Amino acid sequence: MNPTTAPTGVLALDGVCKRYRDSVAVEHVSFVTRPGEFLTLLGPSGSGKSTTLGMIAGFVEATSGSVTLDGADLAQLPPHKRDIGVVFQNYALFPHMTAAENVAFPLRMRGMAKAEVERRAQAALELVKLGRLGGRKPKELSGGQQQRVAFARAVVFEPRLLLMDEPLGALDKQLREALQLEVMRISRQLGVTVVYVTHDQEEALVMSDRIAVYNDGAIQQIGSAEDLYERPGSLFVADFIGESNIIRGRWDGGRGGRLVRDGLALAGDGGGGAGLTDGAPAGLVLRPERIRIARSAPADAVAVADGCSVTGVVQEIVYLGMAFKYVVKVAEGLTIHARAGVAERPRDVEAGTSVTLRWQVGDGVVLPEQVAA
Amino acid sequence: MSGRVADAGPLAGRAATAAGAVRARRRPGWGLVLAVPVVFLAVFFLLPLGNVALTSFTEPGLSNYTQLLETPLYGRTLARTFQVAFVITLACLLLGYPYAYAMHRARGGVAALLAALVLLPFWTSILVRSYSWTALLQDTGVVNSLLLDLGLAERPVALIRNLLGVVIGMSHILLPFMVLPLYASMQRIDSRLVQAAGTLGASPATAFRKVFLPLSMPGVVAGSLLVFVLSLGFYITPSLLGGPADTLIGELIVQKFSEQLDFGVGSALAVVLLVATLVVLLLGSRLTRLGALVGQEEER
Amino acid sequence: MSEQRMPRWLALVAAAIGFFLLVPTLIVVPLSFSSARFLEFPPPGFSVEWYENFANSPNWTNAAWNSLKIGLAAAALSTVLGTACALGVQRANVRAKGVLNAIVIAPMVVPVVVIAVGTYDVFARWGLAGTFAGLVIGHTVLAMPFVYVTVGSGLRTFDRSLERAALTLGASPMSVLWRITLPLLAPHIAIGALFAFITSWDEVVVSVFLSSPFLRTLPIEMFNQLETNLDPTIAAVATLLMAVTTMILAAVAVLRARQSVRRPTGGNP
Repeated sequence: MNPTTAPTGVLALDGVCKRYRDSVAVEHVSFVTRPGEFLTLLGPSGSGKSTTLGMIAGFVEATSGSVTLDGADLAQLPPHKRDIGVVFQNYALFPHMTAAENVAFPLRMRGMAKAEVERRAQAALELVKLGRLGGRKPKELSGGQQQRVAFARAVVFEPRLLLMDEPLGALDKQLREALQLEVMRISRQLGVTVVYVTHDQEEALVMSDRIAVYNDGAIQQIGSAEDLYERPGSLFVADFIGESNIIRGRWDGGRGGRLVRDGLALAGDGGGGAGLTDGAPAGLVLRPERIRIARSAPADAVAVADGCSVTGVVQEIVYLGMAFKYVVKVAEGLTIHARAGVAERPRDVEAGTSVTLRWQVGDGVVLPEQVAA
Repeated sequence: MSGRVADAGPLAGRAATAAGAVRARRRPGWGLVLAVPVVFLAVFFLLPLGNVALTSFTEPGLSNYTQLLETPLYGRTLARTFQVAFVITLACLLLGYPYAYAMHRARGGVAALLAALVLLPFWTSILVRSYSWTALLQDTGVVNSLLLDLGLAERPVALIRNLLGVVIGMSHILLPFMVLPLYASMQRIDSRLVQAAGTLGASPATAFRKVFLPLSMPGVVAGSLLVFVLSLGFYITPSLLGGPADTLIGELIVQKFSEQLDFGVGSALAVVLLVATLVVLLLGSRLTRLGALVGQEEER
Repeated sequence: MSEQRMPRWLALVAAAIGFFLLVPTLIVVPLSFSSARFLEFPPPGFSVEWYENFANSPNWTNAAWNSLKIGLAAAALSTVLGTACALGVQRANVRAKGVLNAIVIAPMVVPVVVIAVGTYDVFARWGLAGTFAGLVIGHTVLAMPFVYVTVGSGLRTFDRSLERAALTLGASPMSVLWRITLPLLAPHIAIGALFAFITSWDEVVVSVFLSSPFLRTLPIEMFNQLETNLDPTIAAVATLLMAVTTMILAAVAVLRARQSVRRPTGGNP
């Protein structure tokens, strides 16, 4: 890689919006990438992440806001002058060219000498472990191989920025996981900044330095996987990332803060009550693995007072391989999942048993219910 | 509150819809690319048509049209043309529907054979086929030779130089134009619907009558429309197979222009033919997609 | 296609209609090899005299040569214009695309006679009647819709993400058209060109008005001689006309077969 003094691959979006005549696809999206960072745009279908990518690539014109790469305003450049690598969802490999010709294409567009083109294209193919398949046409390659050719083609011209639009969606689980690691490894090796779009939160958690969670055209929260998982900023993020219980009710600021519902008063970290109003709807987020489950004992009735436990009846026990999931009915219409590893699970609990669920105050996060859009 | 746009994945290019979801930053001048052929058509197609209309009204004037109305010859010719077109359409429908249905039911090689039997005449020149019919229908032609040899007739039957010959010849020539849209429409019918009718207790004949036949109607309309409209304007076949008393409007127009040099009345006749064609097409467009007539698939 | 076998009666009916379709089309072939002086069936003997007649007659050979030249020129012009039209209608930012589409297809459904007389009048004034250019242009108007429809159908199934990918890889829009779009559309363009050629090769009505005693196409020569000439030379010419058409149809069938083998890429595991 060419050493430079200034950081490269710094993509900055500032207040970017995309509005159509009667709808809004993207609302005030802003973020700045660090050089060489792997940033994932994560969200459900229709949340605006692909549209954001389209604006960076140049296929969608932003209604307002600015998109800059290393300080240069991209709005001035048509897509074919932006020097950004793109991997499409359907790979978009040229069917009338071989894999090697596909990979060589961007180099030929840049007027490189023939010998140099061939050398670099072959190197790129070897990078994705397809060194000997260059002579094949795309239809002669498997899905996973096609994806790797698409990837090689997008990085062969050493772009500063790489955009990937749900590239692994069509592959089966094992292949997908293998390629996730490949993509991470290669982009780290190349030092290229990656903006990756997916709706699969597991994929995001595995691959990313930072994740931007999208909902309804706006970014709910940006942070590392740990940030989002441990300290979700909204119920949407808490719900979207990882599996968790979200117990909905009303906030009661007294006694240090409780979530009140159906006669239950549950304690959790309300962040000092910031953003939470007395009596307003809120949700308590409890991760299943932070809840301890044990057969109910008479003494438990006392412990209920501290708000960090609740009793219920086990409906179902699900075997997950490395853990057990307990589905516990706690009140009418309220079920809580608890998780226990194979080693530490209680032996005396089975379907129908009365159990007590316990957690630490700091393990549960209380967040206000978002105003309906 | 404002709705949200479904994430159509513009990067994958699926969002090029009427919502204007995608706009290239600098359009590569497609408007200019379109302009060239459009100008060509405007100059060499629309202009001549406009000129015909103009001539009909100005050389020498509206008297062209009054002549059409007053001289019974023109009215008779037009009526004859429509009648002949109607008969031909009917004949093509009666012959074409079973053939298209057979193509639809046939498998593999047989289907290909039946298709070839339709496509070869379709692409063979009308002149060649009309000539073939003269060879067949003449007094000394193939059909009459057979009839005489087999003793089915004592003297040659007049199959040519009359409307019968014209109808036979044109029905043959236009039959592919009925079969092809019919077949295309039949292929689009979900075969499971007929099977479902069977499971619900319908006999094959009933299933055909109540399910298949109604569903094939778009094809029937498209084919009939096409055959009818094409019949109206025919010139070659009627001039080779018809008699002097049986002129159709196409021949009349050619006569006016090439023999009688009466451009005024000729143009008026041409305008009448054009308007009749457009009216029929317009009425037909209520019943079917006009693109289907020429083999254009539907927009996704 | 239905699962059940075709009922016998249907097969018989189809065979009969197929016979009706085929025989009048092909009857000229045996007649062209007849040794009789007049059209006679069955032909009394075999002879290639009529083909020799054709080859030795300057009228016929000139006409054939004219048809070939005009056909190739008209096919080329139709292909360029028809392809440009198909691309333009799909992609230009224009309203009323339905109207444009109707105009481009119109020559296929407007009565040829009307087009012929209109073209004749205008071309005569412009000095194009009886000229090579006039015939080429006249045929192009009729043939262009075929290219337009064929290329248009190819464009409908065309994967536009390939063009976007090419742009991101640094290809200018011109390069994208030349290196990606047109090469992938080539089979459709080729088929359209072949149909355009056939259209010109067989064209009669417009040619009746636009040809002259010095510039005749093969169908026109044939049409003129039909009134006066009753010998089977015309059958020989008709057979030749059909032979060319059949070869071209075979080429189209081959192109279509190759096309269905090539499948689009993307997303298929």
